[in-house]
Amino acid sequence: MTIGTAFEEVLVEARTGHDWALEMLYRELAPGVIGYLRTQGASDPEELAADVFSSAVRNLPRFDGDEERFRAWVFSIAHRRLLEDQESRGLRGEHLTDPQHLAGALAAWDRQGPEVHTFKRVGTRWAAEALLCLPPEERAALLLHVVGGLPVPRIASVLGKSVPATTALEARAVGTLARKVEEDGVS
Amino acid sequence: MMVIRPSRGSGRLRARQVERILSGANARDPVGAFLADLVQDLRDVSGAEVPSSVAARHLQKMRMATEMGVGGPGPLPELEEPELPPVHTLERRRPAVAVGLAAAMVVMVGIAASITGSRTAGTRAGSIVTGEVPPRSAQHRTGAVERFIASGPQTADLPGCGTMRLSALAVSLTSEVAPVLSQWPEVCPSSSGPARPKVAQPNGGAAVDQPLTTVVAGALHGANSGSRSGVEVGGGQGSSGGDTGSGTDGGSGNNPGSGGNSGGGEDPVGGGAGGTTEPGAKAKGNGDGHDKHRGKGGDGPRASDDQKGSGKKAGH
Repeated sequence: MTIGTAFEEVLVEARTGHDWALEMLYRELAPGVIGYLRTQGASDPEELAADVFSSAVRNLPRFDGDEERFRAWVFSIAHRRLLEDQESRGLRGEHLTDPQHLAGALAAWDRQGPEVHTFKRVGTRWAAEALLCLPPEERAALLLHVVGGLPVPRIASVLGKSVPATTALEARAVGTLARKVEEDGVS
Repeated sequence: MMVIRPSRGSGRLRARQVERILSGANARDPVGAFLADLVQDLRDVSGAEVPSSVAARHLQKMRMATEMGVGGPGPLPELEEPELPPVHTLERRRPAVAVGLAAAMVVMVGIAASITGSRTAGTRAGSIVTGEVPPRSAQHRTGAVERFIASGPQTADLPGCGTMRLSALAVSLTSEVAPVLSQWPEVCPSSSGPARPKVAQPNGGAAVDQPLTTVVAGALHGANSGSRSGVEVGGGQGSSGGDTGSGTDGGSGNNPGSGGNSGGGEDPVGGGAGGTTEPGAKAKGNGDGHDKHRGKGGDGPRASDDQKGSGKKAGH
């Protein structure tokens, strides 16, 4: 879902602090941002999302671009806040394959709201573990694509990678998941 | 929970398979189908409605952020921020960059000086405010002043500035020199300053007036060298310095304004981008002129770094 042709007007109104415009931008992006933070194992996705949107609104006058770019801009803020969150927990750059880290991340996952339990098709526990065990950059690329709805070039800019490198990250992420499916013989 | 037992050995995923999976398209093989289901679940997560209480709290924070405006707390997010190198790399680079910049500046200044001669884009106007009188060698200046004096009290042909009226010259000089000139009625007929200093005769005779030529030459020379150095060192726009601030006094050494304008110029880096034409601080000569005075640069952006003008001596 996108705002479409009205985006420019919405952006102008949001810059001047009109509630309806701010709300429209929020409704458009909040589920993806919160979902991204949640599936990345953020400690408090909703609180982090509040920071993301506050920061975005504060810097709105400096933003220039279309809707796709705006979406990528907001997700880049979300990604940075996530890295800060992980760093504060000593997890930045860590593969969560360490049993202790993984257990903590899964526990945080379990504490989250009902939205995360929409992994009906594959099973929440399996999905959580499979995603959290991905290397951080692969996980970020995959989730920015699927949850964030960003095209590869935008994901590349968020992650500071080249487009081919980002494509490779996504492919490796899917490959890793595929191997896990095979190994686990999911049941 | 759905139960899937994919067959073993499905091998490496092809790019097209990855695309299909990420797009949520159903795949034929069990692994692909399972991953497509996972992707679909993820999409559901991203499309889930945000609880109204959460949304209300977030929107409230957004409104507050709007009121705070740009520049509130928190880093400014950029979409494409280049990755910073590690801190230790930065620290290693910083001195090298500074040295490189300084060297480049000196080279540029040298080139500019060679193009423009001894006059660098008006930055030496600190000595002669309007810049009409380009600084020349001491002999040149002295000769000019002598001709100026000899030509009579009203006008003079000065190198680089054509014919000038006496009063115009006096006005164009720095505030420190102009009063010196205006002190002598011979130079500025309208002024009623004190008499010229006396100079004792070596043969024991009665002291005579200081020669006017010496007075004015000293004043001009002193002002030029002193304040020019200050400009170059403290806030010049690219002059490399190099002039020793040898403020020559007005002959007898008793003219505080005319002599002893020191100000550095020996510091080759001193000509950095200070960006001001404020002359260096003038140290007043005291007659014997053997003191070293440290010229002080202007207050340009880099003045604090570059204001180490080191005038050699004031007067002699």
